Amino acid sequence: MAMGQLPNPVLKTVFPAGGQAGSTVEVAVSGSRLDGLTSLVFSHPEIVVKALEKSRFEITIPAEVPTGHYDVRALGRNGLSSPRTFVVGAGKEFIEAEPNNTASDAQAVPLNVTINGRIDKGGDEDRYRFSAKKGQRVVIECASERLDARLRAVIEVHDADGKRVAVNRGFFGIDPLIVFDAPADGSYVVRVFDLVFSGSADHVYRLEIDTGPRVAFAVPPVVQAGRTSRVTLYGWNLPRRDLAAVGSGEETSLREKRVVESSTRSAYDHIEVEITPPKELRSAQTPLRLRSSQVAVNAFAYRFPGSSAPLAIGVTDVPVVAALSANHSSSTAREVSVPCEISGQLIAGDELDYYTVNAKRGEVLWIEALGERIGSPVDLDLSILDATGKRELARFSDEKRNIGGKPFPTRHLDPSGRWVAPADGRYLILIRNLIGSLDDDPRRVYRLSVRREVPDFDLAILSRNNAPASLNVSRGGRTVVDVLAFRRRGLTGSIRVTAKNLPAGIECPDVWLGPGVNRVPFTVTASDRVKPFVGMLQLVGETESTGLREVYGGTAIGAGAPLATGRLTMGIPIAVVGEAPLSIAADGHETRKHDLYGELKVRHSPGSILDVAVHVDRKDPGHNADVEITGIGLPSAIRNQTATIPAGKKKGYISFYLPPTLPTGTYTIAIQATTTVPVSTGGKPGKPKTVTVFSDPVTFEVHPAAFTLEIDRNAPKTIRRGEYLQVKFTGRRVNGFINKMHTEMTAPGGVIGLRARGTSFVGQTDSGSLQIIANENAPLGKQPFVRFYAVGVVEDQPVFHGSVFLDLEIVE
Amino acid sequence: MRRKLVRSVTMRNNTENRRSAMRLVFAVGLVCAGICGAEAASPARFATDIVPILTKHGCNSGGCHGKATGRNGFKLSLFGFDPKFDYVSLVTEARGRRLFTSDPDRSLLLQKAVGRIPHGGGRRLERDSADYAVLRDWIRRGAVGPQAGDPVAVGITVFPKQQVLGTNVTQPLRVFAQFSNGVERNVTDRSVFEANDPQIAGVDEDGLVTTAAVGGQFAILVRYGDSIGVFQATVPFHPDQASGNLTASEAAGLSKIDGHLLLGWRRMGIRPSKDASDATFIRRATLDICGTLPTAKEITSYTSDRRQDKRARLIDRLLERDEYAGYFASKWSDILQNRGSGYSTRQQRAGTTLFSAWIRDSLAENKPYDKFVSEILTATGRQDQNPPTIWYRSVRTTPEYVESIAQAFLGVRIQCAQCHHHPAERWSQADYYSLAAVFARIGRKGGFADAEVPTDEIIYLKHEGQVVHPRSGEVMKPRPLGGPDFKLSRFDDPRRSLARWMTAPENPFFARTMANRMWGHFMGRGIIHPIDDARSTNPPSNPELLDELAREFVAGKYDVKHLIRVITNSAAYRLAAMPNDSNGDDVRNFARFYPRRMPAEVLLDGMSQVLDVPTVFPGGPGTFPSGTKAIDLPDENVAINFLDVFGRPARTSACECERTDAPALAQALELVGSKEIQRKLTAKEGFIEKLATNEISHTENVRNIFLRVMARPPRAEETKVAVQFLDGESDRGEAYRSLVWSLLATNEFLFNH
Repeated sequence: MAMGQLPNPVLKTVFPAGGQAGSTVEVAVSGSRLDGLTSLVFSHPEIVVKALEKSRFEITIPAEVPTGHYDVRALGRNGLSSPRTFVVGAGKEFIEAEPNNTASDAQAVPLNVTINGRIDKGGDEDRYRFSAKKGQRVVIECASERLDARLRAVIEVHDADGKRVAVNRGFFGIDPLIVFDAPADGSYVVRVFDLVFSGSADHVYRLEIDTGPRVAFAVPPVVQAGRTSRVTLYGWNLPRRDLAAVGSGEETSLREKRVVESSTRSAYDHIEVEITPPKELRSAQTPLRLRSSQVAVNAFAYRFPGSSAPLAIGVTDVPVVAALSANHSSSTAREVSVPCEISGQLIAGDELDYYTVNAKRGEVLWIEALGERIGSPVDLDLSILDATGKRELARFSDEKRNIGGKPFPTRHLDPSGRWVAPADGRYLILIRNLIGSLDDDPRRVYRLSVRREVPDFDLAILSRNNAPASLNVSRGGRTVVDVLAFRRRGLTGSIRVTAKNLPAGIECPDVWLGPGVNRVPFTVTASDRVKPFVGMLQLVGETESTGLREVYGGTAIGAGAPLATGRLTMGIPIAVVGEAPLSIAADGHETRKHDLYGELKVRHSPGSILDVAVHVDRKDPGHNADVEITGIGLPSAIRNQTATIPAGKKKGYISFYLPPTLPTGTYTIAIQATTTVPVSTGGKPGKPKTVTVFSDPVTFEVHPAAFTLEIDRNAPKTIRRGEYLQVKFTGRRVNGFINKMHTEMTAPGGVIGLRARGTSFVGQTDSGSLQIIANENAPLGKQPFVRFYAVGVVEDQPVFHGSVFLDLEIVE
Repeated sequence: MRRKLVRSVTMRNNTENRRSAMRLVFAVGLVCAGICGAEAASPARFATDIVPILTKHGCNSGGCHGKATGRNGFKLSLFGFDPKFDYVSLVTEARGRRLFTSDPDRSLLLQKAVGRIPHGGGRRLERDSADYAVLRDWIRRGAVGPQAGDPVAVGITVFPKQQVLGTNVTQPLRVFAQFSNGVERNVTDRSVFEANDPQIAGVDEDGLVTTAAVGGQFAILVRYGDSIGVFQATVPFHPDQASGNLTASEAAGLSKIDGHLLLGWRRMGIRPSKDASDATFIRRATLDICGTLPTAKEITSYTSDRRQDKRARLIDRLLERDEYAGYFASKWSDILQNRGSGYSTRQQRAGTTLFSAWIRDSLAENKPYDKFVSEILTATGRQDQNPPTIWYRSVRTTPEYVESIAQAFLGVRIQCAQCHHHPAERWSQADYYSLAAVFARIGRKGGFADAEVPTDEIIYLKHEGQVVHPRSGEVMKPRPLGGPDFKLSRFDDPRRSLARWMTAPENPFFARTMANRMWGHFMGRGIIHPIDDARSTNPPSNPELLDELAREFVAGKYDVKHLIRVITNSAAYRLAAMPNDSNGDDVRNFARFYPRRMPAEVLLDGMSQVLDVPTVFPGGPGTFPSGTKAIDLPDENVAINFLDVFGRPARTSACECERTDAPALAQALELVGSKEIQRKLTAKEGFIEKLATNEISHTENVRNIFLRVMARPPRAEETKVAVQFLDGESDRGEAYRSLVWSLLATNEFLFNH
């Protein structure tokens, strides 16, 4: 019987890492903890998988599956593995065969092919020979980073004499691309190797040798949702003239001239097309690979006829302004109206683009640029200047917050910020690039949104353990993932996250990201009765002021590598496997008996204590160990605590002080329990195993306080058995509360060996003292979570509660 | 004064000199007639009279009170470059005890200087000297400090400026200073003189130059206040053969470069060696252009080529080889400090690899040098997008920016001016910190942080950042060396302006430095030497030649291969290394080829090639492919003892001098005991094994060995000795091993000659 936590299966290699739509491909996978593999799970439901021997599968990709980047996961005894990228392409595919390390061993390949290869070991090089006619433009592109693989590819083209005629070490990020215009009829050799001559089974790549149309980027890079728009595509082997026969105004022809002059290194073809994007801003099913920093990038997959891969084109819900005119000085600034999204290009390295907006005094604008996040080689910088352009009123630079942490970096270089107009008038927005080189580059496109304070947000989930992982839950058990919130344009309040269309037997209580909270645990519980299955989890978030927003899947990639990174996934698959060894339940609203008022309902406010009752269900009768409990997902203002539920006990408490500075709103936390469970191997008891389980979410609402309590700083910290002492306190009334307060000393589950006499006071009184007596046989040491407590009364009803921990140790 | 000058001039024996001297006497006489008299009567001024006396007597030199911390509580500015500071030190500091106006002779200053009171620096001044009188008079008149309206020296002229001198003769120098008020004055007795090559000529404190018994070129540095002047002279090796002209018919058949070379030889009275043999030339050119030995086949084909222009063809061919870019990339990686050590190789190697690859690509595509340098200088972004940003990974501080740029691209060593006025040049602290201000807004962010050096940081232009003059506290405006402030808006990157200034055709440093660097590469010595130490006191050995090379380079739009062609097709590059009876002593005029040991990497690769066994380079994170050459390594952090022993630099400065070719005992030991060489000699797949097992006669094998190792066929005597030795050995493999190894250890192999 599989007892204990599920090992985390990690998929490290998928080879080949893609296939042609309408073909059948044999795929081999490898990774860690991939025991008992049964199938592969693709993010596209129509890809059919048939298991061959051990770790090989036959995959049939229907012709209707659109080209793009999909997720693939391996399914085995330990559940779903972490995902890897699997590309569905349009062209013919080819598998590398060693030996091909030397020019004489180069594998002959036709043009218009995708080669699936691998740099097997350090120092390995792969070579392919193709033939081209003089003047033929061959685009050679190698993808590896975009496959989540570890190769840092360098590609070279050598002529028949072995002379290197082209090289590239990074075009799309670190993935290289060569635009090769064959100087003569003949055969050429492509060499692929790792920049630092590394190699392994994970150094997988897909190399395209292509003469078909390819698109690199679009101007504008964004269009308005649902609205047919004209877009200029830049790429190679594109038909020379417009497909849609769009008339060219003066500005357009100017631009064309400029591009031709500026792109000396790799001349782009360009073509103007008319496209109609979807009505919605985004769908989690779009087969585009987005990095963790691109959570907020709404885009759709545009496919140019005949090209092998889709292009991401941005989608927005506001009008798009294409900045065609020369606006490189404050006097030629282009006027825009709010809200809008501007499309621009900073072709020269030191180019400045100016826009003007008219604003009323006190009007709030949110300005956000997208450059790095749409794959543009820029580091944008935004300034707001007065109408003369002489005085800088505000400046916005990088997004430095990194909500996802190291394994899922969400910081980026794109600036955004809030600005309040100081007076009625005209203002300049200046956008520029801090990392422009001396050469012109038409790839330096940007999106610039200018909007009012309309709050919004995006959500993504991420595994808690910082490693690449999928969501697996054991029967009768529970797992936790984190929900990450990316708040936009001034959103501060609570965000509620809800599951939709849950599979039977799965429970996911709603959770709230409290005010200012950007990361919260989300629990998934499987009932005892549910059968193992693989399904999809559909989550949405909402706030009071916004509509529903889909929650994206997220994963870390390459944990442990120096430059670990993360990306979004298509959907959130979930698998139920194995069984849980124990479960815990948490209750943050347990009532309490009061001497005067009987059963007290809990009302949380800043300056009070959150008590969580934790129930342990030890499923194995032999399980008899301490259970350590602690909080997870606490807002940063709340200090974490730990507590122990002793062996043999089924219930314990853990308490958290809610500081007076905590904003009111709804919050969710969870409790994590760690214990050791017995393991039997072959009928004999083995070494106990440490397991960690999670409670269901503890959601609590923080209401405005009526008073806050403070203990005198100089109050004694120790009390001797059989003695008594006095603790001075202050009860600071707030929010207009003037009624009666009763004070006492208490603890969840009661105080042992200590007694205290509190006081009651009314009206203006706000201080007093608590007399504490220790019994002769009081237990030595500190008692957990003993606190000084007060109830505030309104019309003889106990309404308000305030409490603060008492730091008191019983000594001999 | 006039009489004295006339007398000194008439001491000379050269009629031409006498004529020009008379012209000067006439001119000076006119000036003096109007002004000198009045000037002489005026009281001494602190900055222009008193401080130069202190300088002349060494009071403010670096070893004495000019030291940064002063000496025995008394500190002066180095060489008197800060008169205001000196005045405070001298007059008001130490409760004014150094001067005694009511009885000047009792001033501490004078008592110490004449040794009446014990003085750590000994006696510097005679009581009855003119300088003493001036100091005393100045003190007596109240020790007046520098005044706002005081004239300042704006420059000096040294007379004569240039001269051809014989051996064992004397030549007095006279120094005239021009002041801001229009006055010119003889300041010879207030000036300091220094000889740059005492073996050829010395100079005394009065400015009397005395040549020694050997020929050569030398310069005398003259310093008056913060003005610098130079006297340059040539002492022909064979005065009887020396002349300063070429006939028209001689000049007609020569390129401009060759004309200047020939003129240089004429001036020195020397004749060039004869041309090197074909075999020597192909070996030399292949080593210098490609860092690689020619193969036997290449040598045979070249030596049998009968075409007139075969040298030029060879050079063109070599410049198109991948090894050209590889070899020069490793050279530039040294200069640009593409350093891998000091932090985790696993994390840094990608960066050093990208940068060295970028350099190699730039050379392979023959990127114009101005663009190459501008791209480095103005680099921004991430190493993936823009590999030259790696330069900013190694070069991280204000002094490093300024000094590396000045040294690498302008051929100027400006280090001294960080703390004080350059003692031998015109560079002031203001020049230094104005250049530093160009880099004040270099921003760095991101990157996977290593403790000190991030792996992948972004270089960008910050909004703010300034450089402050350490003495005046003034915020410096970005300014190039010797140029006016840049005109900049707040969004402009001053580095772009600097790059434009540098690469402008009229820039006095940029093209010359590169031309000189390349000349130095191919000739073993710069026309200015060291190649990155251009200053008036270190003049070029053949100024017209250097000017012509720089002109060619600019006219060719900074085409580096063109520059290399010009140099390697010159008359000097094809000369034999063997001196003739006239040019053996000369080491500056390129009348013969100066032999030099192969650089460490070239030597190791050469051994790999000769023995047909590539070196196995340890490296992480991957594995260098078999056949990787030492010149192709991305950085210096590849642990190969051989390379270190033979002078591979650590890439910690922009100076090519970091690479040494000095002989060392460790080199001999390495040749004898290196495991790597032993492995190459014994490898199963190697050349020796082939010799041991082939069926070819010893004579034929010896011929092949010589072609391979020495790039020439063996002489009859050599064949005889070698075959005799081989015949006498029982183990054929061991015999060949010994023979080849002994050839590898000869200077003929180790040297490029």
